[in-house]
Amino acid sequence: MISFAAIALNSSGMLVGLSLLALPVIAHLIRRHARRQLVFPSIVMLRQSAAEPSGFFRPRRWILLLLRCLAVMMVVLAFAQPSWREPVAHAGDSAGGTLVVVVLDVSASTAAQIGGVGGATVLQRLSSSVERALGSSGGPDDRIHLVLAAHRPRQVFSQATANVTAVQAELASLRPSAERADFSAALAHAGMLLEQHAGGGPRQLVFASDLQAENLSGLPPKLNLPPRTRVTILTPDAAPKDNMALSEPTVYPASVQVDRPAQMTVIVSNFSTASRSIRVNLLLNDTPAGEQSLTLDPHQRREVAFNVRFDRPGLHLAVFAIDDDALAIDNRAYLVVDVVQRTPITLITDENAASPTTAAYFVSRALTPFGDQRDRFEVHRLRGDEVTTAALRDSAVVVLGETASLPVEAAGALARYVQQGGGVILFGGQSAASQVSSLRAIDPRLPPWSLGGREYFEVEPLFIAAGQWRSRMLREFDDPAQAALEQARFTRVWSISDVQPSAEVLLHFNDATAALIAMNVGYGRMVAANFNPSPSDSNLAKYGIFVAMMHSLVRDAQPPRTARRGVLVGEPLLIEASPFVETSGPLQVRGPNDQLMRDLGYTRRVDVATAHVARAAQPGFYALEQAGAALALGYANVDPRESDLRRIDAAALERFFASSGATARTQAGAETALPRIERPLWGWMFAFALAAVGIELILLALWKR
Amino acid sequence: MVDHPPTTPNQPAARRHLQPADLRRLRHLLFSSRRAVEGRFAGRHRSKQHGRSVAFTDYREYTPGESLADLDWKVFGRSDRLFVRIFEHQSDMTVHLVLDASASMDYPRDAGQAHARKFDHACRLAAAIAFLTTRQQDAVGLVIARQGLPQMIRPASSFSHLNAILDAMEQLTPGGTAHLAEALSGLAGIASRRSLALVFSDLLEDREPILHALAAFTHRGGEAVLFHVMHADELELPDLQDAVFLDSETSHRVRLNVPDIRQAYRRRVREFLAGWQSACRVRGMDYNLVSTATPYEKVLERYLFGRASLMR
Repeated sequence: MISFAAIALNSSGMLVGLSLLALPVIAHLIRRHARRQLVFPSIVMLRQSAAEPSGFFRPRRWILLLLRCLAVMMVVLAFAQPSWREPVAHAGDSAGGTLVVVVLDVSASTAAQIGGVGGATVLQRLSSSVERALGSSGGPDDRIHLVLAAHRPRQVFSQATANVTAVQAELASLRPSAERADFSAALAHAGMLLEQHAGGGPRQLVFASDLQAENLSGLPPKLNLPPRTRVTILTPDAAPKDNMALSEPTVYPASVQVDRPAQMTVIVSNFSTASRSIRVNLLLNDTPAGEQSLTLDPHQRREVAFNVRFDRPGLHLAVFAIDDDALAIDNRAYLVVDVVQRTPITLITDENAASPTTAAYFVSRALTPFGDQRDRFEVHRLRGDEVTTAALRDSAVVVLGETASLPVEAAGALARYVQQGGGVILFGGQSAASQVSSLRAIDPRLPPWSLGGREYFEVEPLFIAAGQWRSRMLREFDDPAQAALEQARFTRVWSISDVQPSAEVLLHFNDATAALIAMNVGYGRMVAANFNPSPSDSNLAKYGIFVAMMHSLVRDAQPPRTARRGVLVGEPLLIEASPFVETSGPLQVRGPNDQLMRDLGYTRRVDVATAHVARAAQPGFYALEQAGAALALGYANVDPRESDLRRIDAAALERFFASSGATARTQAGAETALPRIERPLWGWMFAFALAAVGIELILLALWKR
Repeated sequence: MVDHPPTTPNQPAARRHLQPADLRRLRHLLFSSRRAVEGRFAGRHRSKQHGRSVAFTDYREYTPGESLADLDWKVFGRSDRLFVRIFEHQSDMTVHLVLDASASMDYPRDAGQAHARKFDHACRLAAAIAFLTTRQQDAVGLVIARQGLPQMIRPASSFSHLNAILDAMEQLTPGGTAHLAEALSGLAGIASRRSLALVFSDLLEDREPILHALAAFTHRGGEAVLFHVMHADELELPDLQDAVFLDSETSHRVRLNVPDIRQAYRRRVREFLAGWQSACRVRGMDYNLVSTATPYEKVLERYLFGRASLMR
């Protein structure tokens, strides 16, 4: 549709008929040159007549040409279905221009292709609908704002613009983002813009979205819109609803050791109304590392696991992939695997780890039996007052043992460590209660429980009687291992209270009290035991099963995903290189598709360099480089909530807007959206054409006479 | 008007330019001059000469010694005075047909046109008058104006002479220019004093020389009648748009859009015709516009009836 101010041409393609204007022009030119030869008795009087000023007659042919062209043009315009559009005036509307705020959904789901692979995207359809709707506006005082709904709302024009052409050009250049849309923020922003509209003229909100239920489920109960705001909901017709997606790539353990088995998993979801068979591929460093096929029922999701081994330490790029469908952006899942030679463990204790009477001794021995490179773990010891964020940064797991005190700074560092994806193992002990208090003061979620006073069971020591043997931590404990664990006797334990609801009890004592609890906190994980491996509290450490337990605890304490390196698209991403050795050359970040990212912030502290990516806009890998070498890697994945393409009922959305005081209506497909009075003009065009023909005939008759 | 049915046994058959059947309605009409003619023989037309005829004109006193044959004894009986009757002399009439045979008379050249060729139309008119003249035993001659050298057939009054005139017309092909003034001047030099000159032409030459030549003729007591022969296309331009007009005599050409100039041309033509009409009226000459759209017999009928009514 083409609009000229208030006149719109609904079938603008018919304007190709204007080429018919060539016909009267050609006829005019041909007639000018078509001359018949006639022998006449005498041309004297003819010459005398031709020499007279012709006055009106010479331009006569041009007048006829003009009339014929006008008639052709009017007929062509009539077929182009012109209509006169004027805004519907509502009671209470003041005079003044209309402010139209367009909230356009550019979330990842709008990349879905209508009609299958290769079809137009949902965003293209929405943009076209918005373009048509804006094309119907044309008052000189009308203004337009364009707000893109993504992870954060983006206002395209700093001021409301009357330049419809510029808006349409912007719409034509838009591409779907890879982010999840925050509609609450976008609509709130739109409400603010509508509120700021000066002049008192009509206000219109155009909400263009695929109405994805997952995205719209987070709307507030009510929206702040100015009174008498008219809302038009634009939806694409025939948007795809079926989709297959990958999400939540993980590796277990999070700190993978060289030549040690690891398991890489990804969630496969079938957001379709039919069962689907699918093949999932795993690529490690661009090399195929595995393939699995499975069949999923409608709306079923399943975890697919690949057993792998890494033959070298360092950062490894893992990509899970399925065949592309209508929404291809969620058919890849990215993961960076940090493979270490030995897993670094930090043991926070003030005890003498060399003394066999301390829990620290037994914990260290359990984790590093060889005391050399053959050990799977590398244990660093810190005193309680030495705990800092920097000291904990490179630890895969922190074991919190007996400390004289846990300063606030140390507690804060520990809390941050857990929140940012670290794993902490907490044993009961004399200092455990104060440690718990210090941690609770920083983060109420920490630790999984509160520890009270010591309880003595010297007459009838407690033993491990039950456990979640199918859990990840204990699934390697077969029957002999379980029996061996039951042999350990615990003479002193600590009373527990305030167990966090989300905590999982992994082991029970024979008195049914919890012995071992695990809980995810933020991106990290805490495993807490209300017993202590010191000889004075139990004989657990004397058994070989203690070694297996410690290894399992360490493995389980590491969170299922290395969130420090991965985020969802749209979120800020920190890429840390540690240790960082300054070399020549600037720091730079290379994003997905190999493009260098601009306008980033970089910080350098001692031996850590950090790149601050304000918004990871695309899924894929982000590399922090210097002098051409990759120092660290980060990654981003599409928010899994964007993959479910089911839509909400438009009527429900209309009710939502109505509850906010606006009048709303939905339009799908190619209809114009803004409420206008449309007066067809094609009858007038035909009338003008007939009038032009009539005038021509009258003039011809008069001139002939 | 005396009814003289044709008694001449040599009445010609239909010829290319003469259809006697077309002239049936005109058999009772006498084609005569409005002026007194001077002929060699007695005829039907008034003459300035005096002589014996049945036309009494006046009385004069008797001069002793004159013949008593013309005394009017009734007047003597009434007045006891002697008066002699004087009679009008009637002579035969000589008609000179002057035919323009220039190229401009050869229009249209395409056969199958709606209207007749100007030359043919003029010839038919002239042939009809020649026939009428011959039938009433007056003399008729033919002057052909072409290239200024007049071809002339001296007047005579027999039907065989008429055939000769018709032969000359049929053999004639219009072409070149007429130089009508020269032809008329030449005619004026050899024609009898009181004769009738009928000019059949489109008069597309300079007016004054022609009128001057005709004036020389009329000043000697003759009468001139102009039949201005024009094609319907000359009076009203044909229904054309853009056309190239070639002059039939000079071969000059002009490109025109006919609708553009139609009104101006119409005005010009009216002025042209009015100019000739007025000039002829002033000089006491008969002017007749003859359009090829009008059948020649109608033209002649209208002219002769009009002429006859003027002569009563």
